[in-house]
Amino acid sequence: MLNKALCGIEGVFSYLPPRLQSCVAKISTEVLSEITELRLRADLPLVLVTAQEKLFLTENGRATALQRSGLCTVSGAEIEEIVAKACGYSVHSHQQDFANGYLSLPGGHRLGLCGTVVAEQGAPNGIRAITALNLRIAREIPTAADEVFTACFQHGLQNVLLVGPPGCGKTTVLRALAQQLSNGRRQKLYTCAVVDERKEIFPNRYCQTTPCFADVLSGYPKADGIALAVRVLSPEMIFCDEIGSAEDVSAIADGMRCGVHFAVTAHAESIIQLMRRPAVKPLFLPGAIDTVLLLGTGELLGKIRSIYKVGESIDQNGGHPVACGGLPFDGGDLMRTIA
Amino acid sequence: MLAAVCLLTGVTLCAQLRKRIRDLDYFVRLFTVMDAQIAYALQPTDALLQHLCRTAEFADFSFVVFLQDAFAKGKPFTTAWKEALKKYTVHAALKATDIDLLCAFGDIFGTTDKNGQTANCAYYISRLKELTGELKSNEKTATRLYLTLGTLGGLFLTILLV
Repeated sequence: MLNKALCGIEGVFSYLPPRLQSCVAKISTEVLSEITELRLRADLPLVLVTAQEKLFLTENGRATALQRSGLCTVSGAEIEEIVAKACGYSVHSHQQDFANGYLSLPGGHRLGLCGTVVAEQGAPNGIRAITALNLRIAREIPTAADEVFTACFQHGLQNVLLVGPPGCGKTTVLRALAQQLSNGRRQKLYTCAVVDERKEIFPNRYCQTTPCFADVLSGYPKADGIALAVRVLSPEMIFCDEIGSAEDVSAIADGMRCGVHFAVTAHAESIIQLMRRPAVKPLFLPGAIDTVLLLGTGELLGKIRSIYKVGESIDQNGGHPVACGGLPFDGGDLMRTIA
Repeated sequence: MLAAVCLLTGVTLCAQLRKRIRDLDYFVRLFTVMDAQIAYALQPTDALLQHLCRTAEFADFSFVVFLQDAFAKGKPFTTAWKEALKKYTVHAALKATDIDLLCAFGDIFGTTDKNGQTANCAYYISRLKELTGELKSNEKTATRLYLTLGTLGGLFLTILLV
């Protein structure tokens, strides 16, 4: 049984060596609640990242934007110690995670690894000489999907793509959406499956304060997980995070043809950027994604910036409809902004 | 009285030898189970230790409980392994060379990929089997020797003093 304390921000700090723990323990509550990432680099000062700014941390726990003496510096040995602890002293159980360059921690937190690649036949197989870490702090916000729910799911299920740059809250929204749709709090109980390749959406059920009845396929590659979910779990809706490869999109399209709905996320700063990703394009063909939600950053973190309906095509400049769904996708002008 | 003490010393030495063999056999079995769990399920260390503690054949092998306790307290595996070994060897019959060999296993465990771990387990299993093989083949001779020396030593001292 997982210790619940490990899921909160204090749990994240428990992965730090005692000296660093004592530094971060002195951080004020206000700053603490704002931290989204800890950046740890060998022989350099620790950096706290918030939605608004990046700050150094002093030995006495003060956050400062100025590089000065008395900053809390991280050593190479401490980096190694954090990695060893984060993988539970079990490198053998996290081979794939090391190859992917991150370790998932209880509570949905993620430790990004930066070092020298170990490649086998040209493909990354691991990482050595780790020199920097990015400790991303996840927060469970059960109401994070309220806006999305109101915008897209009031009248039943549909296929939704959540888009935004890294760190804009896509996973948090997706998690909350899976909880809302699967636990029946929104009038109807849906059978949901979550394909959680990176073990970030639902890293451990004991960490969730809101019950979630979704079936979680943890650690499965997205394409395999989707195929498996469709085959054996009979889901009405499947959730998966950070799609990007042609295999993922093909599996999603197959699932949609089987009558399953999808809520997926993808990295992009704007819709135009998204359109330029060839692997994602098939999702905009008729019968695929119904709605694209662009999430905001900064002040709008985790909030909807724009909603696009696929198939009600418009001229990109004037906003007038120029084509209808059914035509092959040919660019960013196949959508209409409705909010 | 002296003869009895010397004989008892011989008997104790025999028992210690048997206990040493039994302790080393436990470690051979432990590494074999660890190897299998890693090769089959890539068990992470915490789950592996829990599995070992639940395994009936290790019910009398307090080392796994000491190790699990230390690791559950958040100690790095190497530290937990050394602490458990230290605690276990207080009542065990292992020799310093055995302890050094077992200590070295803890330094490497969990630091490499599956192939590295299974190779590591295989290496220590073969080293320990070699050691226990030698001890077992000499067991009868050594037992006879200890008992004979004990008896003769006792008689000699009795004659000398009387």
